[in-house]
Amino acid sequence: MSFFLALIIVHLAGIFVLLSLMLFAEYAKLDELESYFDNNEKVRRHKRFWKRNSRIDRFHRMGLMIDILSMPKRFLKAGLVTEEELASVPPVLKRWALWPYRVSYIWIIATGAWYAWFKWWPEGT
Amino acid sequence: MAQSYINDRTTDYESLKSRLMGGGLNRQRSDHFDVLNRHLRPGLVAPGQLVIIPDAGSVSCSGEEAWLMRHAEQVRRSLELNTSAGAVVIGNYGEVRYRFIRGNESLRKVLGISTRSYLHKGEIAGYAKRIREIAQMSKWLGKGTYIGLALDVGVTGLEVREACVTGREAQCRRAKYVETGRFVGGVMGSVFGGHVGAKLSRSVCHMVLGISMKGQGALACAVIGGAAGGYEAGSVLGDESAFLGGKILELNGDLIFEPEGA
Repeated sequence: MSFFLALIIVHLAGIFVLLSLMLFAEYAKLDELESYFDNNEKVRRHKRFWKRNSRIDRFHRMGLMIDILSMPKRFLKAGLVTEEELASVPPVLKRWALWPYRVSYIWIIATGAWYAWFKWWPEGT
Repeated sequence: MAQSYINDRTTDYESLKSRLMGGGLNRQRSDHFDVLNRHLRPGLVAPGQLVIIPDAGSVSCSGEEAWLMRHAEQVRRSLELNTSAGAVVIGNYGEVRYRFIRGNESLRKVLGISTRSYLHKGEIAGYAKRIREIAQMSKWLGKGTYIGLALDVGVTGLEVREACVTGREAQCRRAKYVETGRFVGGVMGSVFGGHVGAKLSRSVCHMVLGISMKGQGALACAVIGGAAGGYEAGSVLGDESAFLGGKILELNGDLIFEPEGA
């Protein structure tokens, strides 16, 4: 098996796993995460806007959670969250929200690399 | 024998009628056309609508015309269902047209039907079915999936069908794996790219552009980033999966994976 083909298989399998983790977190972990920000005005307003339970709503609500947890200093500086709220979130939950995205950046770079390789590969297209 | 025609551009009803029926139409023929095309009125006729052209010598409705009317009504409903669902099928339809007609391929070819002006009975039923599928997919899109998804479903079916109707069995079998792979990869890529693209774009908006976290700026960033990421990742991963699909062969009913060569 060529390296190129092996790369595709690993790459696609990785995307599948990462996507599953993201969707799982969106469905199974979001409510618990939000419960730590029950009294937060920014989160409550966001929840009012994305109030249905459809996928797009959960996606955007999870997006805010991820933003808060990945850029805590900026949110603190803007006065949108408190130190106590951030400290109350268990590290396991933080990992569910953040790590699929962190690993995804590597996969996005790999996707770009694959694309460039495929375009200049002699047998490509 | 009554014939039907797919309207390929947005046009008003009267000019469509004179284009298809010719000028100097007598009252009876004009009324007959109106009766058969009740589903089109009033106002503008959207692309994709099925137009029924009555038999030259007839002024009464035949069973065949009734059959055509039923299918035309079905197409109209599918197109309307979509508009009301928020993700306008005309938009998607227009995009299909844009993507393919740009390459000088007609709308009819894109939809897997003959390039003749008028359609066979089998093609009409197939067309009604395809429009219904696109409408349903777009309705699903309206509930919050990402840009670029709906088109792939229709196009996947068409690619497979095109290979299969030409009677080349080996190509037909391969097309099934390649195009199904492209579709699955495209959908997976769209959702994945939408997620990561939205996250990256929110971060960039906050950090580089300095858009306030207090306003709705983040929402715009997420939507734009999600759409762009979804589109890009969807097309690249679709190609990747199509390539992988091309490595799958069917020999004597068994599926095998061919790692080297094509």
